[in-house]
Amino acid sequence: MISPFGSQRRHSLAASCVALASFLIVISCEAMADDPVEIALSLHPARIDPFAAPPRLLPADPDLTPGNAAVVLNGLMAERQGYWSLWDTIYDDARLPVGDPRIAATEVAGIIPDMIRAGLIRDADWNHPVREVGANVYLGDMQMVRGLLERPLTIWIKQKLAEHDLSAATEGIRTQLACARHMGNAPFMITAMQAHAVGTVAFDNLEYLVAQPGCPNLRWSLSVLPPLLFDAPSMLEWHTRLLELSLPRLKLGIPQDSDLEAWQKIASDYFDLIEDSKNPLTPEQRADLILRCAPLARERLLRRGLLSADAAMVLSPEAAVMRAILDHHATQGRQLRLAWALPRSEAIGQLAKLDGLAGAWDLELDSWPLANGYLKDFLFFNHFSRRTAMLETVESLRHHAATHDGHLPAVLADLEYAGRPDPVAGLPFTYVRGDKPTTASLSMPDIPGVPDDAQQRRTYKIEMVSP
Amino acid sequence: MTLPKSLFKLLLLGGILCGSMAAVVCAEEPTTIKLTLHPQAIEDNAPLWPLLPEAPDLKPGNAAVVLLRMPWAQRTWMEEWSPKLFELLELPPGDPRVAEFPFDRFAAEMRRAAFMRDADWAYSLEDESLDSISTPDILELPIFFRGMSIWIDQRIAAGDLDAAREGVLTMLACSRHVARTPMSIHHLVARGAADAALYRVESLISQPHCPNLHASLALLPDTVGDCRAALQWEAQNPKRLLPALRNGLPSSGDTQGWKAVMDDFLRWEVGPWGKEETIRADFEARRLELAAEARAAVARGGYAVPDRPISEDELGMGYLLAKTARAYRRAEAAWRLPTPDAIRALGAMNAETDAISPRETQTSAPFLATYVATEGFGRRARLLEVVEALRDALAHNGGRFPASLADVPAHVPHDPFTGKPFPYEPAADGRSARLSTTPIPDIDNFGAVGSALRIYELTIATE
Repeated sequence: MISPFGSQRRHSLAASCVALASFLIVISCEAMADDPVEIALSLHPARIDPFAAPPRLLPADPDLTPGNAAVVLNGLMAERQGYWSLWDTIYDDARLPVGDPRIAATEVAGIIPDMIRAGLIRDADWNHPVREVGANVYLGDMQMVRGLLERPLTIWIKQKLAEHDLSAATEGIRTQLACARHMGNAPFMITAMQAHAVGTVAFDNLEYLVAQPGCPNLRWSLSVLPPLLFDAPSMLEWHTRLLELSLPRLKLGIPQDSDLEAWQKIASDYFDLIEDSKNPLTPEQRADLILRCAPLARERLLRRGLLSADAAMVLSPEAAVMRAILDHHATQGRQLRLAWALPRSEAIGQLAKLDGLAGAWDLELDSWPLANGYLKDFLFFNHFSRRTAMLETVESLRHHAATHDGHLPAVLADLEYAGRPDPVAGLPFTYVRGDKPTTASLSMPDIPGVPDDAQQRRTYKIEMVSP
Repeated sequence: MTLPKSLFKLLLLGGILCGSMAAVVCAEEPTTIKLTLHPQAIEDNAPLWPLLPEAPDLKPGNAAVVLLRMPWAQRTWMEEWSPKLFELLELPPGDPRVAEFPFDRFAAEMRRAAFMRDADWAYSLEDESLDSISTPDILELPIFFRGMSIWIDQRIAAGDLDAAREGVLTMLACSRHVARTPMSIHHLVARGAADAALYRVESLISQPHCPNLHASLALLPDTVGDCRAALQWEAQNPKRLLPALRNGLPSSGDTQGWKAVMDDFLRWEVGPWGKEETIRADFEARRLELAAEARAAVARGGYAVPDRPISEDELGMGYLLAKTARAYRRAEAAWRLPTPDAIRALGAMNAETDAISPRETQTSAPFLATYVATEGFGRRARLLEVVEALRDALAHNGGRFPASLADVPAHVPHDPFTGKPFPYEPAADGRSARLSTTPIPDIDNFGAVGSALRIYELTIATE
């Protein structure tokens, strides 16, 4: 098979949505890392007090105020242009461990109150012109908001942790999660990924928080977190329509098969959408490609009963190819929505099948924004709930230590407050107590049916510190 | 209409209203429905028949305004037709009295509301006492949901199945709007309306040539609204009901402050209808009872009080408020669990409170009842999804019911309440079958309230 886009086809498509490619690359590299992660956690025993109100990690509904958080967050960027010159430094500082003197020296406090305010606003309407231009939308605002939430806010959280102001640090993490949820209100899969990338950073900060002496037990706080930071059905409904919304001629409806001019326009718009803008095809190359793809496209339409043999004889190459692409996209979108509606264990199998089907579709012009494949995207999103459940178990362990002379249990079944199993694998977390009763390891179990390189394994090496 | 004075009554009212909307929801016995099925394959190529509007189809606007305006726009209609709705609902769709029911104008308005993105009911929960909040939506909207049900019957009788499907979509979308209020009673009203829509789906899929709705049903959510926000609001009920708590809890040792809270609470518990002398006697008895409960909790461990002496009011009232807040926290966490685990967790809360004090079941039992009532929507949707998987199997299987659900080619969902397959028993000749839900011990106390206990007796239509 000859491909004009080669292995870069997906990024080429993303390049048409100016910021999309960078999101894919950054998210792919950072948040979707497949390497096993091992974290050393020095924990202090903390009892669960059933009558005390632990802090929330997302604002409760009665605490929210009317307004549009997107305005506050976008305004924050416009107002603080001075940050751009410091951006790289802030990026590096945000990755430093709590207590590093360079963190204390970085001035970020000025923008924090507005971020906290945004986190406490009920709605976030980003007003992206998705109905008007589909995927040809500029999403630079989301990248910048993501940067603000991940970098300066993390530095501030780490400053507060170093000062042992745990209440402020908790508020910072709550703000990160609340604003990530706001980002999840945008109607794109890519912005949902950004929201979860912020959620990942918030969880890194939570791991620092629970390791602080005097940190209250957060088991309940974790147990009421949602499994996702966006409305999955709504996002998938938009995602399924995105191609159609990106091809302006389709706003007038699907043209007649005989309307050559309309199908040529649709094909041209499609090329504009998926091509790498730096290396566009010439009109001749486009025409050649359409001609090469037309037989396969006709074959698909015939096989699926969408075209009669007689009609296939007279269908123009542009109409055949574009009809096949639209049908492929609609079918995949429908299967994707149905798979996401299943219980997670069943969804994994369905999404793996869908990835296989997508791979088997050998038309050269089928590129459409899937960051890493259906299953990998699903696992990336659901990693949030796995980390939530894992930290809940950590908090149950802290309670056990507080009521058992600082000792960890021999097995998880000994916990008074039982931890949830891994919500995606459907299996208990793997727990092994160490040589000493104060050490243990806690790991995510492997998810059945998921390839090794997509497991996103995480292990806590726990040491319970004496009070 | 003014809200009644206890959470239990409030939730019970929701159940009653649901019952008036869709009496079968609250039936004590499983409901047996006879469905005559026409084999119909699932068509991957056909456009999806949505049963809820898709996000890109929603438009800006506040659906609450449109829905609340309807009763006032047509007073004559309301006076003439609203008393007849129950009678019309009992009639078969082809009855001439159903055909002449005038509802087109309302159907169009409801459809317009259905395609609006938001529904802001503008309750002033932060400013008003719970006692003084009126809920006209609960009283009036069920009338229009009933009207919409009859309108769908008209479309089915006329053979206009796509319009009937759109009527179902409208009802489900408007129930979702109703569930956007911050009170769980509305979730029960919404569930009642959504249930009425699912009755129409049963009628729809029994029609010859009805497309297979397997995918449409699979995409329906488990509930029409998220009840957790309502729980978070209701956790603040003490503050909204007891004026002495408006500025927060009194500090420890503030004897007068705690007495004021206790007095407000006892006044609320007795209600405005109690006689003065009875109230006084009740007050003292209840004050002592609460303090005794608190002491018992301290003795059991888990509830801590300051080392120095505190008043009986602070002891009793402090414990009651802490316990109420704790119950809401536990309920909120349970709501996040997978459904079978959530039912177990909320059932355990009931059992615990039963053991401590039978009186307290009044504050905790509605959690489980509300949960099964709201989640029961998803249970019914999944059961209907199985029916559609069976219609697809009939189309592939020479018009015979398969021997087991494992032989059904399409996806067959499990019962979300049990995590197991729905019980399915085909007749030996493959011409009929029985599909049902399993009773769950933890929710037997509520009979079938909202738990969607159903038995489908399925037969194959003779063309």
